[in-house]
Amino acid sequence: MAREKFQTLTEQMFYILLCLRRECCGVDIMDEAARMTGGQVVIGPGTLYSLLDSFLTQGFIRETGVEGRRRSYCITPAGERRLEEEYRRLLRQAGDYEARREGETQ
Amino acid sequence: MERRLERMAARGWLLERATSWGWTYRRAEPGEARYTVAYFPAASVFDSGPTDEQRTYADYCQAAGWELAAANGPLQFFRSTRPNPTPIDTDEATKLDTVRRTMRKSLLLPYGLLLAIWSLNLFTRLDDFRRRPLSLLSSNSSLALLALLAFLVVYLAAVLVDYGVWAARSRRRVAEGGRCLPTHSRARLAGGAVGLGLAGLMLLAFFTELSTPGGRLILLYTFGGMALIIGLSQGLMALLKKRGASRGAVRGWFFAACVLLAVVYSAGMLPLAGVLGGSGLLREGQPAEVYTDSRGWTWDIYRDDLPVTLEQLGFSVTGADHCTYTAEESRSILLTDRQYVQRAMARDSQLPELSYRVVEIPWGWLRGLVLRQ
Repeated sequence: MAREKFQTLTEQMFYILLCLRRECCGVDIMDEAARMTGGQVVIGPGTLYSLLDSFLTQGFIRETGVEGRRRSYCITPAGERRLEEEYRRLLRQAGDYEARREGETQ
Repeated sequence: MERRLERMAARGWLLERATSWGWTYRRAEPGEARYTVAYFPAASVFDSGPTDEQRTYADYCQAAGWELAAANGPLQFFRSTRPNPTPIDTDEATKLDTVRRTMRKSLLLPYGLLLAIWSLNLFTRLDDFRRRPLSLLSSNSSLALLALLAFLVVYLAAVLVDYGVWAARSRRRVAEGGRCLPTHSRARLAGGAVGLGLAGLMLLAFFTELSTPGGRLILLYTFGGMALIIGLSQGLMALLKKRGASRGAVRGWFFAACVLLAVVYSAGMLPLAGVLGGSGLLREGQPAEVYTDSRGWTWDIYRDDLPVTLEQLGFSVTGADHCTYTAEESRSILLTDRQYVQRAMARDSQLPELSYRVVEIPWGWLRGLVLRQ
């Protein structure tokens, strides 16, 4: 299940990794993602916890510090690569859409 | 579960504690409260208090507006007073994975084990029945116990199958981008009620059957003993948790206590039955006389009514033979089994032992079944 889990990143997975390009505390990720997307992408606390755990196991993120109970995380090079892959996939998708649309208007 | 908690909150009862034996509430202002039941697989019933991970998880939930009302092992009860709080789980695939990981520990393992043990027990009893049908059919308590055991085995299997189907269907739904299916909590409750009913019937049957003082003692030992084992082991677990022992320590001591108590309990049954059997407390009625033979051994002599005696068959029976006439009756709703024995207790007696059994079966269909054995 772990391998195929991250074949395609869901929106929530994508934004968690995106937020963690800068060192961020777990609690703040929820607000950050909502702010970044204007409330479109909402990450629930339970989902956040599970995904952070999975990302840690997969090596996409690492724990950078613990202040009492506040844990901070940061993305790893492996995570960066995965994020980049997903970005390119999205670009390709958008490109296909635009190409199709352009083809239709001509 | 969530709807029930929300109804209670509307009436002014907020969830305080949740244990396997029930939920407790505390009084508060009646008002609107939303509840979510979430699963946290890393938590265990053997934890003395929340682990660091659990606290982190609770912190995330608190940031989203959910306060942890109570927890029972991996089951977490969250409450929110905000009108539209962010749901705790926003991704169905992650949620399903969490639920499945939790169920592996708290459903599949214990129910599977119980199913295996009780199936073995049931199989042994059925095998016993095949070889000696009358001893089961003539006892109400044995019949009730068999019925209860059969029901429990079927029920456990049904719960496991139902979960398996739910997991498979939900996985397919989620893969297509849908949501998990709801569960059949009402059916489970109904099943539980039937099980309790059968258990009550079984207790009743046991109580009426073992009406001798010795029988009552055995009943007290059996059921009282079980209650004591459960009480002691749970008490030990609660004590260790209060002292803040580690999860491994609580679990280890709990299982050790259960095993030890079970061994003591089982070991105690043999001498108890032996003593009671010998003391005659299990028999109804007193012996007509006690005969002490030339070597100083004592024998109980009974003078029950026998339909056929050695005398009637033409044997000459005198006082010197010291014959004992015993009639034992076993009665159930299905049939009545009477075993008669006439035996001479004097060592030098020439009389043979007469033993026969009369079975009264009011049900025609049963007669054919029993006769075939």
